[in-house]
Amino acid sequence: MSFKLKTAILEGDAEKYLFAQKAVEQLRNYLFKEPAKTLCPRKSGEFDLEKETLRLISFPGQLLKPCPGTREYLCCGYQILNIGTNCPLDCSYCILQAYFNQPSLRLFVNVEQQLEAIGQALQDSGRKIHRIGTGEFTDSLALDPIARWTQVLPPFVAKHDNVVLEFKTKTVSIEGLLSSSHRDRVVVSWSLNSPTIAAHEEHGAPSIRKRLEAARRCQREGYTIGFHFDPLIEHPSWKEEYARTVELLDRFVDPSRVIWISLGCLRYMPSLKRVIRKRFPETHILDGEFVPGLDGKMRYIQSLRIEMYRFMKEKLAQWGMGSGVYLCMESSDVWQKSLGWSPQSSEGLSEYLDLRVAETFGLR
Amino acid sequence: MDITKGQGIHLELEKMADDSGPYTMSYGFNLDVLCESIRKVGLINPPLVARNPEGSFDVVSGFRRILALKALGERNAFCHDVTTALASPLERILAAFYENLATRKFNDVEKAMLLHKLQGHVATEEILVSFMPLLSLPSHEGTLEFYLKLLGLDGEVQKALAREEISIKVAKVFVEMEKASCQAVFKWISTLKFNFNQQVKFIDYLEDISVREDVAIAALLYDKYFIAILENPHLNNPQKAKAVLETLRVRRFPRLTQAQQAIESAVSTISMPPGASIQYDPYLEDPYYRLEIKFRHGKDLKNAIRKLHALRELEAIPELWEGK
Repeated sequence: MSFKLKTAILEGDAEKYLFAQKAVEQLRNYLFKEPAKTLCPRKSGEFDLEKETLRLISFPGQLLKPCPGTREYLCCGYQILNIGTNCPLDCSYCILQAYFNQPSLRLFVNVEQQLEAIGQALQDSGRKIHRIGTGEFTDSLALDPIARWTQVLPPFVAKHDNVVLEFKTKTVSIEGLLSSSHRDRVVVSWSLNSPTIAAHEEHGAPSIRKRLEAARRCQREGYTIGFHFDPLIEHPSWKEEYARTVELLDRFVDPSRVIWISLGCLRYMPSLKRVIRKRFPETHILDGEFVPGLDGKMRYIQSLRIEMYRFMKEKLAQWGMGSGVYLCMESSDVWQKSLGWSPQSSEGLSEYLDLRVAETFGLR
Repeated sequence: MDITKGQGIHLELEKMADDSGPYTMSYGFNLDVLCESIRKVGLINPPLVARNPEGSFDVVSGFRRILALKALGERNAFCHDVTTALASPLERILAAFYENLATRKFNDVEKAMLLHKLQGHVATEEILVSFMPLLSLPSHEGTLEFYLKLLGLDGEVQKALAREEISIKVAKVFVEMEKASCQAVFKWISTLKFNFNQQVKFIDYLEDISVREDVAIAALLYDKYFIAILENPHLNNPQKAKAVLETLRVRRFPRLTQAQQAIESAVSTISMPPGASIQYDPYLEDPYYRLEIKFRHGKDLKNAIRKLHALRELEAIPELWEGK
């Protein structure tokens, strides 16, 4: 693991959960000092995300929620299993910098206790396929050496045959996955970018090559894998740069066993801009022509988005990924103009991805 | 603390300092009304003062009254000496604070002054929890840090903020901006009297262009195009402000501007019937045009529709982003 924690804090009644007790054991390897059981929560400064502090917390709300898409653009109908918030990586474009009003890395210790109720609700939904991911509010695997989600969640998936779980990551923390015996309906996916963006903007994340080496290992071990080119960022020679990543994909991954690849251009809530300017004054990710989208987020002008998607679609098709490529939060118009077809609606996109799941995992 | 235990004292005004001193928090005010009030009915509430180690007096509360009396040419002022009644600096600051809090709103610089003064005597946690809500500020450490930084801005910028000539959003940018750029931006804002929205746009464009082109903001503003706008005798200030913003917008969004111009030239050449117009999303994100028809009665509407139906040019309206 490429990060080192300074402090871990057991908040409230976290200590009573088995998850927390196990995590504390693991934490001894990563802490500068012993975990504190209580500590007066320090309020952080405006731009201090306190990524060297890990808080183990019992989350009081619902852990499984629909992805916060908006009706203005097509949303894939993903569901988020909220296992924690914030991330030890420090990507300059990360939306979480403006999304949470609380600092520190947070792991929810009561996920196992809620899984039974979640499973019952999923079972009651009949044959509907549930695509669930843990990588929206944190990296799915970055804290796995401590949290051991890869030991907890796949057995849960195994018990519910209409559930597919996606671990979404930029890391190479795959030891937990490789030691797990439950691999059916588990997707391991990597967030990819151009080598230059990965090197300059994805602070603390392994190189694209290392990510793809990890993907290759997982694929060879029988895991179904996916990729997410999100955010695509306009930067000098972006075509050559993204083509280079597809070349690396070609070297390490068999496209016939990739379930999906999503594409999404950089977008951000207006409030994120000042945070990025302050935290990463040297970055050029905000250089492009951004306009307010129909959902209020800033996004590249449409012509550029179409150009980038069209380019990526061609490159991925040349590699062997003729289907399974989809756009994240885009309009039907942009789908049509860039990919040459459109699922027309969020329901249509959801059905398309469910079909990919059914084909990949042999579900009826 | 009991202010009523203070003693009356006549002080020579010329021995009183002209700055706000260690306890008061008045800034960016206009003395005219207060002078008029004192001229008409005299000084109703005597200022509170406290003896300092040098033997002279600091104003605890009533700094503006002291300045007004000086402006009116008075030589002496009847004050309340609270040296003993308010023994500690914190008591004096609090007396000044609560007296003002009851009667008026603080401007942002005054809030910053109070928070700065409290910092020397009160724990940060107490400032956050007890005092910031009284100033209508969120109990947030980041907000406290920002307000303390306000006092590092140039005097002219502080005055403009106190007079609400620049927005607090702009001040937030200024406290983080390199000094030469801050001075240059402020000079343009105050010269052209940008409104709050324009101020934010102006800075946003400048920052983006500065990073993208690797040119300092101050250097950008010396561009001959901007100087030409500034010195154009045929433009008034609002026109100059608009022209500067438009020049920056075109430079910041070259491809968007080009696409907008193509649409605009296609739409503007159509001879629409009176009261009818074609609208579109200026960011070209919404793929739909919108037709608007103003009419007073049904016959008007029918007429407009008939004319529109006969307009062949409508078929030439391109799809947004067509061919891009």
